[in-house]
Amino acid sequence: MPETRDLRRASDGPATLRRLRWIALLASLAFIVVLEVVRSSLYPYLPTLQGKLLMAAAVFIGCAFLVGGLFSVIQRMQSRLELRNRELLALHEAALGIYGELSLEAVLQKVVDRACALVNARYGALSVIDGQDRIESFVTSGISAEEREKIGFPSPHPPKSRKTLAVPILCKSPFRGNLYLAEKAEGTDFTEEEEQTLVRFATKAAIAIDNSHLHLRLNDLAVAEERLRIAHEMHDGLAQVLAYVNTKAQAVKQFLRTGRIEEAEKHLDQLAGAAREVYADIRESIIGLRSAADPNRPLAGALQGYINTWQAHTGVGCLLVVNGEPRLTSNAKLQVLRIVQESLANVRKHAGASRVDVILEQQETRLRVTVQDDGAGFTPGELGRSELPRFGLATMRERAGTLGGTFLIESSPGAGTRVIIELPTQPPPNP
Amino acid sequence: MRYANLSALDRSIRIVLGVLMLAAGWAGLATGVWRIALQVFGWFPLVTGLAGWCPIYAMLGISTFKPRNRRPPLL
Repeated sequence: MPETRDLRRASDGPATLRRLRWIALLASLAFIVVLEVVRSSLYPYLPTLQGKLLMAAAVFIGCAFLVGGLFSVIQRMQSRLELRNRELLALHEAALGIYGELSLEAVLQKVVDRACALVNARYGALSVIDGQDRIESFVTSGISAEEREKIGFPSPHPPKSRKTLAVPILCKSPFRGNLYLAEKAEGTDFTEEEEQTLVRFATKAAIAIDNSHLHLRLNDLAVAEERLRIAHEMHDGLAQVLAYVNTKAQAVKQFLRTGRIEEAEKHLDQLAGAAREVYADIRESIIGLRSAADPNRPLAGALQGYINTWQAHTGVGCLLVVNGEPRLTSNAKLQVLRIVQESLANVRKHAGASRVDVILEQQETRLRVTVQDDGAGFTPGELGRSELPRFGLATMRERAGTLGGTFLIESSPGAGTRVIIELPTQPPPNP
Repeated sequence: MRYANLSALDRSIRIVLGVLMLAAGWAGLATGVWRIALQVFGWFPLVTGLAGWCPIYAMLGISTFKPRNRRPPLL
């Protein structure tokens, strides 16, 4: 396990220092003993110049052994620390590079590109393995698919030379794959340290791939939640209206049976009004669904499209003002779109306004969305509980809340209504 | 060897030189102080040749050692 090996390596420092202490002690003793042996051998010649020179040479060699030994150990410790620092820095930079991506394809490509750069390999490949243990596809770096076919890289068999490295990528998500690197740029073999670096990088790559999978699932869940919410809204709205239609139809039947034509006509007019109302609601919902159909479309574009259609159907003037390109994830864009649609639906149904403005302001780290109309207004505190679902305020607040944002409504009778949503957004890209 | 700084050739030369020096010293091919010198300093090339490590090289930052690529177990 790489973690155990790493711990053992990390503990080499104190063990080496202990060794160094013993080396210093024993080497010093050995030095003294050897010096004494040399001195006693050279004793008769010590008064002569040759004797003195030989004695000096013996002392020098003894010191060389002592100092050289200590120096070698310290130098080796220093080199290992420097190598480890360089490795960790390269690993950290490589990992940062892959954590920035969310799409699985982009993550896989960056993994193999960064792995090649980390160990200075010319060619890299990442195999994606399916549920039946077959290789589904390859993501390569430094080599085209045709070249890969021609040279048979990577080989399905375990690599037999140190000119190729292979490590598995073990994820919690369904993804399984192997990372292959070949041909160091200098032409030498890969070292054991480089193999260990690659194993550590593979662990980080697995985290990035898991992150990408979670992001995908989050998007899927958001879409499923949205569908469920729409289904509930349609059910609540339609169910109430259909129940109302049924009651009215029974009443009209009764009135016709008893010859009360005028009252029957009045109820039929009310029925027609209710049908027109629910038709407008459903049409608005369908337009809303169509506006949100393309998650890659910018928010401003989707809003403008929806506003144009809404304006044409309601006859209420609506202006979209955009200050700065909104920086939102696809789920956040959808939620903002739904909040604006709900606000405009309220304008249509309750405000009696002649004009409404939708303003998007992208600040440094927040997006502010304002929907303000010149309609009848209301006193927010006076809305009864039974009226809140009609205005969809709870849903709008909930949507803003799921994005970590705030929802505020300002209104007073005769002074129009302003709905303000503020959401945290991604920081601006580096220049 | 983790601290080795002598190549195989370097080590061989040292061992041979050390043995010759010691043999010359003990066999009496030299006399006087030179005999003592051979007997004492003949150990230096022999010991460093056997150990594969020379303290003078270490202090001067010289290495003639060429590492053989080891093959750890592959994944």
